[in-house]
Amino acid sequence: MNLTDLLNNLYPILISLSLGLSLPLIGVFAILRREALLSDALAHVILLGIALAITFKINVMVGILVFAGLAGLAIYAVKNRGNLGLDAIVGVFFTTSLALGSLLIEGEELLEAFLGDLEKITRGDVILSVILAAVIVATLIAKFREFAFISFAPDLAKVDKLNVKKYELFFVLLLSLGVAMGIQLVGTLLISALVIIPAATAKIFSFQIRAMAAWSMVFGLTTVLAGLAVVNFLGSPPGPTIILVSSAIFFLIFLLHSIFKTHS
Amino acid sequence: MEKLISIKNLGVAFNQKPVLKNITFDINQGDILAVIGPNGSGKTLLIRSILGLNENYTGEIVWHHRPETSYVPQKMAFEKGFPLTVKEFFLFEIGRNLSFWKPSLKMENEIKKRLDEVKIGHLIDHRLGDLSQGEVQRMFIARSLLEQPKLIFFDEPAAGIDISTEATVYQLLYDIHQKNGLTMVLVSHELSVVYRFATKVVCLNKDLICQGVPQEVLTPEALKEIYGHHHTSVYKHAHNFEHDHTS
Repeated sequence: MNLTDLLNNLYPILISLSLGLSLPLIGVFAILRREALLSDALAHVILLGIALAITFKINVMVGILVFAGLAGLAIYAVKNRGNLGLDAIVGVFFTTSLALGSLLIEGEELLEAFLGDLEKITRGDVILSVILAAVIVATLIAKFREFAFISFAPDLAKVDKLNVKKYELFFVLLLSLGVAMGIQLVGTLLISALVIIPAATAKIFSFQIRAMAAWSMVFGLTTVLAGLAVVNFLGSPPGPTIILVSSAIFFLIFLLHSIFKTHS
Repeated sequence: MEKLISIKNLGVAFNQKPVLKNITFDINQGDILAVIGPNGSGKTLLIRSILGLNENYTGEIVWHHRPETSYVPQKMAFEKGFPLTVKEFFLFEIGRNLSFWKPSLKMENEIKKRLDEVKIGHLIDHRLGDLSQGEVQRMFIARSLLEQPKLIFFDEPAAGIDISTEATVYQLLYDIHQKNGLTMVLVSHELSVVYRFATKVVCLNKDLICQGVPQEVLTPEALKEIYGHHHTSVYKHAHNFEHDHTS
């Protein structure tokens, strides 16, 4: 195997490791804050970013990151004002961006944006993903107490002099970055599954929030690595394959937990 | 006595309806201030406004200085399946930096000691969702004392706790007040508690009905204005309690 082949094999693995560790950790808080579907909205706004980048011939990653940041800020701004409710806002963002994005991109490119494509991943993408993932994981671990506190009892956190709004904004931005990073591997349709499913699997049996965080990363890592192996073997598209592996683990744990619980 | 917080002409509306108006009083250092009034009279809203958890109000709330403050809410809705143990809940308070991940033995002992004071030390590793309402309430009380606060807000601290424990809870609060010169703001339905422990009372029914030393200002007339026609039974009950405990 020459160096180019080795790198070509290494890239998807590095990106998968970055995603498998960082997205589920974000997912822990997304689920506990009942904001899991925000990742869906973000992904579809990013689709619009991809579409515009392709149309105006600028770097796709730039389009993705700019739109992820903008979408994060917009969701945060709308969420804290008015009386629409988060689900309604997510619905509006989601469908509008999806419609605009689908009009702008056509045919195969649209399918790639939806389902992800490993072959388009460049060295720059890999480096960026590894750095972003490291930033996300390090931030969430270092500020775990704060994020957990505002997710569980924002009022008590506020009395304790935590700047709840600052951490909420911080969280939406981390979520946007995470989703942006994963778009190219799993695609816009399925990225939120990588945020939600491993963390949801960990929640089935976790009594401690620290345990849920640790297990979500274990499931995330297992999912992407096993998923990639299946992609390699069957030649199936990475997005749906990785997500199906993730769901299989979820249902298995759910079943085992139900059996164990009724027998204990 | 040194002023801690001054409330001047406070007015709060909820869903466009005025819930509190013309509220003016001071909280001084060392006070055990009881806030009383019927359901819906705005007691909780008053406390939340003082704590900065409700920002839609008119008038002024002035903190002359902000000591270490803690808050025991009346009720806190949380998802039963939320993965959080009692210990982790306490670590929100003291598990700063990375010690949330691996608390020191000293921290664990401190948590255990506080839980033992309200007789739920054995629940330290239980999930919050598996606790009874009374146990949750006791846990909140224990948590509020964790960092030796100088000011505590209790919103009906004994709600959901059976009567024998209730006496203990108030006694515990009173002992801490005596020992540490703690300032307490206490929302309570029970006049017996107010008579026994409070140094000052603020009576609400939208307006400020009365304020001062409980034994002086809680006259039958004032109680009628606060609670309406059902006041007599409450009043009698309060006095019976007082009698039982002084004889």
